[in-house]
Amino acid sequence: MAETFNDIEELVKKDEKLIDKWGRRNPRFEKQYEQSVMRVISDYGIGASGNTGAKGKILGAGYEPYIMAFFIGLYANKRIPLSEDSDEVKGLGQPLQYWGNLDSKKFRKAYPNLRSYIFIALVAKTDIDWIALDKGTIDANTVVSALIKTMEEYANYGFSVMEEKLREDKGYFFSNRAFLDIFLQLTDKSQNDIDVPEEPEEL
Amino acid sequence: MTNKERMLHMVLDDKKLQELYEYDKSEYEDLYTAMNSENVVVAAVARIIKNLDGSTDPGDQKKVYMTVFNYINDNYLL
Amino acid sequence: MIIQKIEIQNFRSYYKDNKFELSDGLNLIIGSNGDGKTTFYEALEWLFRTDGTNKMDTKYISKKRSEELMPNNSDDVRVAMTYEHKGRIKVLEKMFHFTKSFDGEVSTSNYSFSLIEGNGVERIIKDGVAFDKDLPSEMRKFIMFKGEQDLNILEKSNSLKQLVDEFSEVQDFEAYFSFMEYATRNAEQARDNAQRLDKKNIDKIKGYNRTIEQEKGLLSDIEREIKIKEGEAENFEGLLKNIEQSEEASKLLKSVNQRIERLSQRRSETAGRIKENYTINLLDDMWILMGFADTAEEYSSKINTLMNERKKQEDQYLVTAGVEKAIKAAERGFTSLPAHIPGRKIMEDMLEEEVCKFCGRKAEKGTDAWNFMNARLEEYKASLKGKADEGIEPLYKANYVGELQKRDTTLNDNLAEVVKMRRKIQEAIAFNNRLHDDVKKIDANLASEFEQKKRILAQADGLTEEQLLANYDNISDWMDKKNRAINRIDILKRQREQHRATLEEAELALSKTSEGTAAEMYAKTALIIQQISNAFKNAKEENKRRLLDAIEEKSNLFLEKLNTNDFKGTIRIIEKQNGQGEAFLMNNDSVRIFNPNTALKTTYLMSVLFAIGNLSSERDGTELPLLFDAPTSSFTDTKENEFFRVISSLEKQVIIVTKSFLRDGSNGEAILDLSRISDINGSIFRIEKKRPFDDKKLGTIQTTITKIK
Repeated sequence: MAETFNDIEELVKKDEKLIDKWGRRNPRFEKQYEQSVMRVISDYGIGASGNTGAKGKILGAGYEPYIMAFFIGLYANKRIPLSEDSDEVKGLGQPLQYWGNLDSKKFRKAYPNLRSYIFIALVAKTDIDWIALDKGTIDANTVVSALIKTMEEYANYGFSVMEEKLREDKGYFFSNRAFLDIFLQLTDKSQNDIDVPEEPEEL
Repeated sequence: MTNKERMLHMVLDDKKLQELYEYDKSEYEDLYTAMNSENVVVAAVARIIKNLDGSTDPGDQKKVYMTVFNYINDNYLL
Repeated sequence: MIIQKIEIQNFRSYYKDNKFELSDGLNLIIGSNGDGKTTFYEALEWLFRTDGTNKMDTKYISKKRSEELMPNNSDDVRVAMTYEHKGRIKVLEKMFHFTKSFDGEVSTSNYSFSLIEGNGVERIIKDGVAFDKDLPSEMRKFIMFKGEQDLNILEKSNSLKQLVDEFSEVQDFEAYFSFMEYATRNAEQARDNAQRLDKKNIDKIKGYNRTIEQEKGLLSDIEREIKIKEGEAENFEGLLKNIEQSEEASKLLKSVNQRIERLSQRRSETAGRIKENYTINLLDDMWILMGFADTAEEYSSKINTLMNERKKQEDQYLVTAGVEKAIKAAERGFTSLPAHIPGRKIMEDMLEEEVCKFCGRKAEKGTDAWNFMNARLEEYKASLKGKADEGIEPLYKANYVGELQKRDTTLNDNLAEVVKMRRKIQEAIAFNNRLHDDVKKIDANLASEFEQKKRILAQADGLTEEQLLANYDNISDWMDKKNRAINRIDILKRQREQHRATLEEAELALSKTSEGTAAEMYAKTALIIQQISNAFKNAKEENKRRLLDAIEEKSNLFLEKLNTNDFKGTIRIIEKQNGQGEAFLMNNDSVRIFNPNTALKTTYLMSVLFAIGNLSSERDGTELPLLFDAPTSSFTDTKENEFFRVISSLEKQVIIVTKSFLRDGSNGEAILDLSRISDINGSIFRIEKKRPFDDKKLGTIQTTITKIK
């Protein structure tokens, strides 16, 4: 289905680099989630070699749970700031520009385009004086940091949700509907109290 | 009915024999009637059965054979 | 004949004196393996032996008794049966003496075998061989049966002949038969002799005789071959019909297996189409964007707002910074625009839209009005350039917003996909669910096919699946062979007819030839004797046939009683090519059943035995008892009870040695199930090894008898 999406980066010329600056970053997460979530459902901490399936993990690289966590936070529209204690926090270890590349894993397809969407979401949800950026009165790196912070905070919420589920049921994510159902629920408009317009009709 | 009479019936009931020598059931109701039958074949069979008396002794066989053979020879009208 | 009492003394496991007092109906002797059931049977076998074999043997002596004997002491081995036959009570007794020498060796002596009648002064003692008059030794195989295999009495060689000899309407046929052969031979000889003296017709006679000789020879060859072919045909027929039910089973099995094969394939295909790795779909197929529409909208509107704001600031900046220059340029000869009107964007719009925003009039491309505006715009731009040349700093150092905006364009293009995402996901899930349902349906079908397969195999009475399928392959081979044999038989029969006709002609001609001569009479006599001989032959067959019919009829009556409502069909009894008899079952569609289950087989074979017993009683006015060793081991409990109930109602003495009615007790020993026994009408004995005993030490084994009922 990803093929039906046009490549967002095509129109963006190569010399415009905000997303690239962002791509070099390595978002952080709270260490507590490494054991309780990351290693349970992904190959995080193990080498990149090998098949996710062979190790029995649901997901592959460590960024995959991170992506899940991020979208959980995004759709729930909830953030939790990272702990201020630097001992409790660590970087993922994979710069964002590689996320989704998958390097010819068996039975998997790469999804590099997802990065653009994450970026778009961050822009949408972060308060930035873009004009000041263009004017040069604020630094691009500062902007990128702010975007990263948004990402980290959404993911932090997402991780807490995932940890909760795993605490209730160690095998929660082994069902292939586990994540799907979380997202279906989060994005089910009919469950919201707010009067939201229905999905727009196709033209 | 004695064993001999049962045997008499069984043999003389034979369809082919009846056809060839034209006799019927009444001729051999019992051993006595059969012995005295005018039908040579019926009488011959009766004599065989009565005289042999179940013996396998060759002497007995010869005796019975002679009796029957002569009886047929003497009584059968060509 | 009714057995009143059986005494067994020191015979094998029966230590010292033991007695069975039997009733004249059903008698059950119940014991487990090793308790003495088979020994009981063997004791009787030993007792009944009248041919002088196996008289004395130390192997018959009770080990316990012989071990405990003090040196120089002795005792007897004795088996005796008290019975009533034709109004007289007799005792058949066989015994021998055994002595332990001072060095521990046991020796036997004083064998005696007697039939004793009466007592006191009127006591008559005959040699035990006289028992043959009461129960001829050939008959014994019709009354004593060891196990279920033994029951098929007719298939034992000679038993049919014996049955015929014993029970057919006409006894002694054999004697007459051989007489007729003798007579025929002699009569023909006489005829030939007479004819030899007939000089006139000697050549003709010779010729006819030759023909007769030849034809007889050919006929006998043909008869022989017919017999062989009929045997073959019967053989293949038997083989074929033997798997007739399992051919049915093989066919069914083949088609069940095919269906299972097909269903399994379909199942793999269907299951293979299920792709449910939804977690991966979230990433690889970007299903995770299912809720992205709102965010996309936020982004778009943010970008829009930004774009506008950015433009606004830029324009304001340019206006502020360079408006003077623009005004100056405008003053060079064109109608100046009011100073507060932002220049460039509006002018570009107007040109684009081909309308003058000030006067409201259309200004299409190429018209004077349009050209006028365009020229103004160019000048204005030039003036700005000039401004730049003069070093006006651009407001923006970078166009990150432009980067964002370009993304927005494509995002908008993709938005339709994002919006449809949720529905697509639901469809994918529904599709997979349908496949799951299909798989479940196929699984249900597979389960029922396997059930059917089990049923087929179960009915095939012990044949494994490989055997059933192998049978299926043999079938066409056997059918070919059978058909070839049958065809050959047809040909042979036709030839036989021809040769018989030729023979008859020749014989007739021969006798005619003698017409008018002395030989004629001889010829005629010979002919008559021949024909009488044929009639005897036929009568012999008829005799046999009537017996078989009688046994068949009676067997079916017994079958009805013994079988209750399990089986619908009849027993048929025939003579096979090889002279043996055969009893088999046919179902109501006249299809022969070759593989009845063991219980049914036992039932119908016992029906035949009861029928034969019935014949004997009709003829002699005396019934013979029947003795069975474990005939009902394959029966269910209910069936067994029913079976014994029927037997006890038959007014016939039946002795059954069995391990039925025993169940496992708490210590692992066998206990009599008294509840089941209470229903049985008859005498019941329990035999068991006396405790304690050691199976390895024969000297500890002793059978005890308890009369229960």
